[in-house]
Amino acid sequence: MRIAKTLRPTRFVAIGALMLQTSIAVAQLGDLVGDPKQGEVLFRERLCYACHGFSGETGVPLRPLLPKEAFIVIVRTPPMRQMPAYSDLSPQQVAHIYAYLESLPSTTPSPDEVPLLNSIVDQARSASRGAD
Amino acid sequence: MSGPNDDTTLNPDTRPAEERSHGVARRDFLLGATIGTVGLGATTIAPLAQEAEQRADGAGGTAADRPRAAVPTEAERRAEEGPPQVDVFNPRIVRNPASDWMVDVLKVLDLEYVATNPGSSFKGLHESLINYGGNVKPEMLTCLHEESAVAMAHGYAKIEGKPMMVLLHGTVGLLHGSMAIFNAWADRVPIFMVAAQHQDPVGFTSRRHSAQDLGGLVRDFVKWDDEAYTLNRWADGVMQAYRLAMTPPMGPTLVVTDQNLQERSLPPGERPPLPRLTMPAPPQGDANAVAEAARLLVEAESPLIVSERTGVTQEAWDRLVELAELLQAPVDVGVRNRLDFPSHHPLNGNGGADYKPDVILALEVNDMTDWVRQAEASGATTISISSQHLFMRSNIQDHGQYSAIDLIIPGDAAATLPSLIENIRRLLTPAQRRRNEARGARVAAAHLERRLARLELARSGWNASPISVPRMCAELWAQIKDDDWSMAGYLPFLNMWPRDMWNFDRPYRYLGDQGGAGIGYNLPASVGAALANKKYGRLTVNINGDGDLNYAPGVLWTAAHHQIPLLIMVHNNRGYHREVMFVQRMCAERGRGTDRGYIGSAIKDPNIDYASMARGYGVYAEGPIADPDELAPAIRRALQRVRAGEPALIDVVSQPTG
Repeated sequence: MRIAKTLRPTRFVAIGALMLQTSIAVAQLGDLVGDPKQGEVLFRERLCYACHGFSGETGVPLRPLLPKEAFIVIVRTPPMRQMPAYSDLSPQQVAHIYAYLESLPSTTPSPDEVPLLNSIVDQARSASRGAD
Repeated sequence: MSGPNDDTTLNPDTRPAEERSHGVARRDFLLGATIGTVGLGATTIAPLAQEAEQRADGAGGTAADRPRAAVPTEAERRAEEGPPQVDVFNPRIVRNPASDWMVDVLKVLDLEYVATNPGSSFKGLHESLINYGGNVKPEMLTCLHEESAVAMAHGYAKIEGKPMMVLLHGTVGLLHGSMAIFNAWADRVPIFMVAAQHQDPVGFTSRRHSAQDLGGLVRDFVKWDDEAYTLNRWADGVMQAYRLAMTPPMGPTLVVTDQNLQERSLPPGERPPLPRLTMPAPPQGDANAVAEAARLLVEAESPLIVSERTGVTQEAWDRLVELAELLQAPVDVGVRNRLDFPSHHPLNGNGGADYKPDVILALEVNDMTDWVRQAEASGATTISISSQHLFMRSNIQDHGQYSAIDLIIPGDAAATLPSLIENIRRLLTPAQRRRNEARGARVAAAHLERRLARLELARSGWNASPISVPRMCAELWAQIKDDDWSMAGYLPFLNMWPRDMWNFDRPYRYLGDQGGAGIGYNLPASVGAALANKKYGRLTVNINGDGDLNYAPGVLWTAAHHQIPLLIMVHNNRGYHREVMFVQRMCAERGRGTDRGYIGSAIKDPNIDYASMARGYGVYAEGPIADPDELAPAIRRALQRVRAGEPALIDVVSQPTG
């Protein structure tokens, strides 16, 4: 149940896709060590930022990051149609991207650090109560 | 732009090349002509010549940096001498020009503005508008591109609810404006256009600016066009064009006007009578069909209202709210069109994922294809009330496919709503009202759940640099929410974030998209909307994509020149980002590498400096701003300028997607 609460539906799909992979041992993917610098180059060159933002947290956010094994499989053979299949990247190259994303500081504040947004949330709730 | 459209090309210059290149001979000619006219008795012109000679001699400047026959401005001259006097003895003076009478005809329409990029084919009408007509009602708006002129009229009409006039120069002006005309056509927005040419073209330039059938160039996407070579017929065409533009379904109309007709001299006392403008009542749906629609809606378990262009007036907006609350039915206004319905109303939305409509009421929905397909799959009943059923003529596929709608009611939805509401009110039983209340509570819960989920997503990447789109929208909202504001730009490229954050509670808060999906609309349309909003004291804002802004940025100058208050925030993601991803997906699907997808769709190397561009056009500007903490102060400074009555631009370097 805890997993169900923390993972979005797309991530269930992703994990399902991961389980279908038979050509590469999942454990081996998890052992790949990436280089953040090479990952940054790849992240920009392959336009990952176009959908996920330069910090990986806007548009379709990548954080919290999937397990590395799942991430590599999904980037190369995504189950969702909107995502291009980066099958021309090797698992090692995707591991570089993963390392780059891991190295980035979070740009997402906690809820109590965003008063501007909280005021809009409060307005939404009060509008709803007004409707009741 | 139609370029240098003066008639000098009609009289090929035979002077030696060295004279032409320096332009001195032309100035000498003007001076000579002026003095020559004095000799014929035009005493009012003598001071001009004297002053010109003084200036040429260096008064107030050196002879080298002043043209020899430079003349004072019109304002200076009138201040010194009063209105110009017509030289009654000069045989070259055209008395009682027909274009003066044309202006009187145009004044019948009570037009506020005429947007134009100048052209020789309407120079007669141009002169009459500014001199005989006094440049009021309509006042001339100087535009640097016909696409901007038409798009300004498009945005203006969405606020004002009536047409702006646009003057277009022959083939070239009409074709330059054609993209914006198509947008207005697809958006069902009224624009009154006059295009001028020579019926019997003469000279090198006029031949290229004229056509056997000028209106034919845009006939596929204007509601009606006419071409007139007599004054009475021209006046008829003007009245008809205005009336048809304003009759639902509205649209742009065109009157082609002959240059010679404008420039001829009417015999003394022979002014044709002015026409009288009469307008039709908007068409209402058939009474029996409306009663049947009411019955279906009252008996429905889960009715859904879909609306595209219904709530464009406050009255229609209020009626739609009344209908939704009576039925306690969700109102889905989609993402492309005007919102039609308050964004924060608990019934706004599709009712949630679990809401399965059994009756779908579509109001002014242009393309019913998907709705009918969905209804046929679920067994739902579809009702369409639309003026589109009264008029459909287009080579463009925006009306979708043939759809087997169950109940079609041709008529203007807004005009039909009162009788539909009255029928529903009469039919509803107390038990049905209680059932509806319970349904409304479920719909409201789904609305709140969706909105809160979106706002939670907005937090992700809040502090990112470049600036996230939800952050940009929230920062702007914080500083305009207490104003009477109007968002003139469209929302889909902003991932609809303002809809979830801002309180769109009036029809003028949001104007929808281009209609025809033609990029380049956003900036000029927002200038036109801001002009319309100006007299109501509204604050107009626009978050404008960088790709859109580059189509016709000259409209920034028009905004500065005419002192049109408008805040433009550039959503500068340095690319046509939908296309970036389309191409990237194509690269991946074809297995040919994913490292070149940006070619042809990224706007970088070099980055464009939009603040410098805007300053060049005379607009206050800041940026590029990529640090989110710098954004709020920049917005504050820019809004000070806008509230003082001028345009301002902030170049915001933004994340690619919302």
